[in-house]
Amino acid sequence: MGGGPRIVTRELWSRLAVKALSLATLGLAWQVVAMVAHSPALPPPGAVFAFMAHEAVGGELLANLGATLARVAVAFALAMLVGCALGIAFGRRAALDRAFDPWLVLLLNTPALVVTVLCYIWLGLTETAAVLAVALNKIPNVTVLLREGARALSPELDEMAAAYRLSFVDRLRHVVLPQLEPYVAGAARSGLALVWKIVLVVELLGRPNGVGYAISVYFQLFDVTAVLGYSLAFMVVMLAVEYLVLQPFEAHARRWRPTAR
Amino acid sequence: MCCNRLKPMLAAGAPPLVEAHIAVKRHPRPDGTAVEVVRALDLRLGRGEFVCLIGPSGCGKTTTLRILTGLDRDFEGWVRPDPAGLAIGLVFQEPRLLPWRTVEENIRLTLPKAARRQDLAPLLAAFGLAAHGASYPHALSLGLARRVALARAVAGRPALLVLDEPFVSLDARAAAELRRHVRRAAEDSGGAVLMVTHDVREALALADRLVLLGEHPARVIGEMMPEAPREARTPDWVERQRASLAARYPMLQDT
Repeated sequence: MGGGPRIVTRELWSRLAVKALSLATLGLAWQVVAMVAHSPALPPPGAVFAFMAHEAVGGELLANLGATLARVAVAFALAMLVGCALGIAFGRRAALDRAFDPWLVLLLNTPALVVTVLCYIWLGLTETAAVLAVALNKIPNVTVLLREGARALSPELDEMAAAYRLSFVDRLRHVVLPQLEPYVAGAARSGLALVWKIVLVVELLGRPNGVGYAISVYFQLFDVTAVLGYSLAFMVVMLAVEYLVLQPFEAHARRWRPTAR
Repeated sequence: MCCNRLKPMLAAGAPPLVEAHIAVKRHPRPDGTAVEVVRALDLRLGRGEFVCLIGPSGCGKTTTLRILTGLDRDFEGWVRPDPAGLAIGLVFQEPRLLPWRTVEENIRLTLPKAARRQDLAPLLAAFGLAAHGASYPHALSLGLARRVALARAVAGRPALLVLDEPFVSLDARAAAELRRHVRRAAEDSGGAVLMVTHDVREALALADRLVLLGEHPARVIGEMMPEAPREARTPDWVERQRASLAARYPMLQDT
């Protein structure tokens, strides 16, 4: 009994050690290749970190990160909200699903670039167009995932809810959404990864700030150190969101499940 | 005592709590045809009456319950008054608890908004669940989960308590204990109880009235009102009644 938690902690530490070692190896390989190549096309990690520190203190790094994060947040929230609503509706109403499935397939297979360009053409080079373009790229994805979840809803619990005359809101909150939670978590996770990749393209094409804009500027100057610095900074932020926001949310959503050993 | 008090209400011609006439109920089959599950089934439930529906497994008892409680409206016939306006506590064959809510939250959720904050401790204690209020359903045995389902069904003091074979796959002791809970809950609330079972002994021990259903399609083939008050229904008495019923209705022979 007393050994249980200690074993878990030891396992956790050894797993963390492996991860750290793996990352260190990658950094070392980067350093070695940079030294051998000795080219401005691949600066060593030290130079990149120095740029990041300098740019964070005196430059535009934080402002650009902030602009991009705001776009990610709004587009992500919009895509999750609309995608979940559509997915649940399609999963519950077969007629609706049959009617709109071709639209979904079409949207799923439209390249992100096309959606972005069309949004900019139709709405102008505006913030709305940028956020909408990112959301539109993500919505069909969320819809498809949530549709699967809605199809798998338990008819038994549904009947229970009907027998006890639960209100629409109570049904949604206590019966439907908890069943969809794994699907929502999956959509959120894959969604965030997709959104933050697309947002950079959207910024590159039509925004005057943000990480995507900065990368396009430094690309034109052929400043690889800056390009890598911005990418690394952004990746760190996204990893922080993953570990500090998404994973605690999932742990909370799983709290009622029997602990698997 | 209680049975003597309840019976006259039906006999005196007081309006029934709920009354159903199911002309035909069909279930669609995968090949596009339909099979008749219920035909010409009439059922009346008096206020405070404890009625057992008895019939072989798969004879359409659950379908009848679903129609009576308004969960299934795809049939020919009527239910009066509309069950949507009736406070019903329903215990399904499986407990059907929300696995992501604690025992207490499961019960609270089915209460009307104004009653959600009420103290559930007496109810939990009455069902032997005092130690399990904060447990999640996965931590409960089937017997305990059944008790929660039952506590949930009576928590709102419904006018009609509907039980669909609530004691199957429980061992004899757990079933006997749960039966006691049901009887006490029914007496406390004064509501009517409709219980589906295929166990004639159980029905004889509990009910004011037994309704026997035949199968393919389900229809009423007989009724019986045990004369003895509930406290006087000893195992011997139950056995004698069962034997005489089985003599009249051969389909009950093997129950």
